[in-house]
Amino acid sequence: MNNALELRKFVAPEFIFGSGARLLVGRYAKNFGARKVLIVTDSDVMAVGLVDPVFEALKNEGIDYEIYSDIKPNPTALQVSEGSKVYLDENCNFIVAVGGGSPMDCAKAIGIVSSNNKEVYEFEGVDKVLIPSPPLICIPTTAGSAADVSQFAIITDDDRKLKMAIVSKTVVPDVALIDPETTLTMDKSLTICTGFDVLSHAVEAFASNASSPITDLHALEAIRLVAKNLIPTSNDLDNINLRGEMMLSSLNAGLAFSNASLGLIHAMAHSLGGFLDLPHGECNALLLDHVVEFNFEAEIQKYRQIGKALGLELENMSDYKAKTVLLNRIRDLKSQADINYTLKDAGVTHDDISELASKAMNDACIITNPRKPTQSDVEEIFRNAL
Amino acid sequence: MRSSNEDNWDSIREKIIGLGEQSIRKSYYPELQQRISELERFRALLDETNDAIFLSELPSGKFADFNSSACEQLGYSPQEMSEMSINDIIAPGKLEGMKGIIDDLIAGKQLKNRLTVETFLMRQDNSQINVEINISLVRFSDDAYMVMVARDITERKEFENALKSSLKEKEVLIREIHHRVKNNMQIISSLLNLQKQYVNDEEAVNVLLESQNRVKSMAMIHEKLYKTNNFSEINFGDYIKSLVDDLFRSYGADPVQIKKKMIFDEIMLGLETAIPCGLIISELVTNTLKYAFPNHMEGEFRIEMYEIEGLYHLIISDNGVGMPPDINFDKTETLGLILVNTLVNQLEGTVELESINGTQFKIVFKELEYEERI
Repeated sequence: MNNALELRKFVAPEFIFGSGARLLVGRYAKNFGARKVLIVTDSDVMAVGLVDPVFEALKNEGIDYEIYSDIKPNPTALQVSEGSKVYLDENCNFIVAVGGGSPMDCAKAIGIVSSNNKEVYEFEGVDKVLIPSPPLICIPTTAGSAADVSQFAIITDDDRKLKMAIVSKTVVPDVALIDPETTLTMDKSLTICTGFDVLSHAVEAFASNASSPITDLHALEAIRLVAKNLIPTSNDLDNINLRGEMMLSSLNAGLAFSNASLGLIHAMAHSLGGFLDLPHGECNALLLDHVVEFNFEAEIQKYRQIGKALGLELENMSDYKAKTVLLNRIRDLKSQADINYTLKDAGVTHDDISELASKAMNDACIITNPRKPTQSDVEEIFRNAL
Repeated sequence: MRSSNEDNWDSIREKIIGLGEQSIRKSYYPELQQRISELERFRALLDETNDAIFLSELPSGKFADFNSSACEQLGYSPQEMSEMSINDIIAPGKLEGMKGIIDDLIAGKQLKNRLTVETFLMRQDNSQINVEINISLVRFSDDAYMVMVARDITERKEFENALKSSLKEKEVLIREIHHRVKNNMQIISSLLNLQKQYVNDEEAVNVLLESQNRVKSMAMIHEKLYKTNNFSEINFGDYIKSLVDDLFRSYGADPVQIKKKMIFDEIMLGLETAIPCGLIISELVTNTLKYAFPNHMEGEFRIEMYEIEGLYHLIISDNGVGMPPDINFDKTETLGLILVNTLVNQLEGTVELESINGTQFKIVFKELEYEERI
């Protein structure tokens, strides 16, 4: 069957992109009938003053709010249940998340835990949420996770030392207010990590066996934008135009991966991040080229298109040559971004690999990888990345 | 300067982009929130009533909903209650009857069906509550439900029973009083009878006999009152029959010589009316027996009583010799007729005397309204 005729669905929240978008939060909260809002954020975002305009906007509409900000990177099940307790105790009926992937994923989980009155573990996997979250507005402050448009929420399970992927249309936010100005406060390291998150979202969504012509458009545009703007942005952090391009790249990647889902990079990165509490973007960067190398033969044409979007001329090359050039391009990007170290440098040993691989095999993201890997395949990729 | 037209275009363009105040995607959330608050208020309304309210699915009888009074009164938690059905709360002895009632209701199939039954519910601790239940059938789309509103009537029942036994006590007392009054009158009547036997003067004997009969006529009313269960009225026809028979006996009248004809409607009279009316009859029957048929003359005595539009007509007649022409009924000096006049006045009635083919008294009166005496 022609690819374009295969059944596909595209879900996206209402989103507003542009300077000042975050200031519309008061109006949206009012129109949704918010009475008391739980603002989910983290202390760093609070400290740089990114939540202040949200307080102001809600006050102007006469809407009461409560803050839950005790969130570390890679939010845990414990933080979700604490946040949910605040939501219920304070009799909230609305959630606004302000921050990067961590507060937004935590806010999504708080929403469904509160409305379903269940433990967050019960939602692990695909379509496990019966009752949707209360209305959720996301204001992303990084150009990376795109949790503000996605049907994913990633929560760390400290007991099992892994990241649970919750995949459900019920966690797609109601509104995303995507304002590039909020990303000006990111330092160089965070800018790079989140940038590699965008790149791996876009690459995996494009190569995914659940991709569609619509997700392909967004994925390729995201790759093009991130390739062009990541390094310049990391060297010119106050340039709002570059920040805007990166934010747009993140949004495109988000629309693509939320609907096409991801692949082996994310399955392995979730396992790794749960194991070592490493920044998610960094995990992706460390694994990116190794997984592309493993997947290349399964979707040669798609990877050639990815190479083209990365600015490469691969047309007259053999597949083998194209693959080498593509991998070099990715590694070159990593080295420009100073991510030229290995999993061993990050603290992974040979003994950890079997456990890391088996957790990756159980992650929902692995389902849509273009090449179906075995446990030993995954172990091999981990070993290559050491 | 920009024209207002341009401003308008700009504002519409903003809205098309989706930046207008109302440029929101449709959402049922605000409406839903409002409905939920309405529902919560309504729920509070139900929960705050003292009546236990149940909504059960039909035909299973399983509870679909109930208010907190239902849980409190029966001693179950809402979780336990939601697993239960009507069968679990009706007292064992009442279950079959209740099922029958419910089946009848369902068989009726009319939506307006509702009825009230008194029964017993069983609490978790097996104690029972006496309740009055309003049952009605309701339908939500294709599903039939039964609404039961149960009110604890234990207190009301206790009150009713106390009232009933107090009433019973008073009935016994009243019966006793009538009995004693009648006995006392009987004693007076016996005394007069006794006295009569020690008097030789015929006139005196007569006076004593008449007095005795007057007392008896009153005693008989009290007797009728305590012998029936009705203390406010007596069946006046029955009374007249007994009274007339007694008078006939008392004057030794021969039933072949004087034939009795008594025709009555079914008339009930209160004590207030019955006493004077009884005395009137006693006087007039005595009159007939003494004077109408002298020298063993044969004839007929007739007494009729009927009611027309709230007025009682009492007609006492005979086809005897008639009243002596010199007697003026209105200005009579005989005690008997004076009494009749006085008593008719007391009844606020009228009396007519007709002397064609004997004597006929026609008395018309109405039931006296009881006036409270101080």
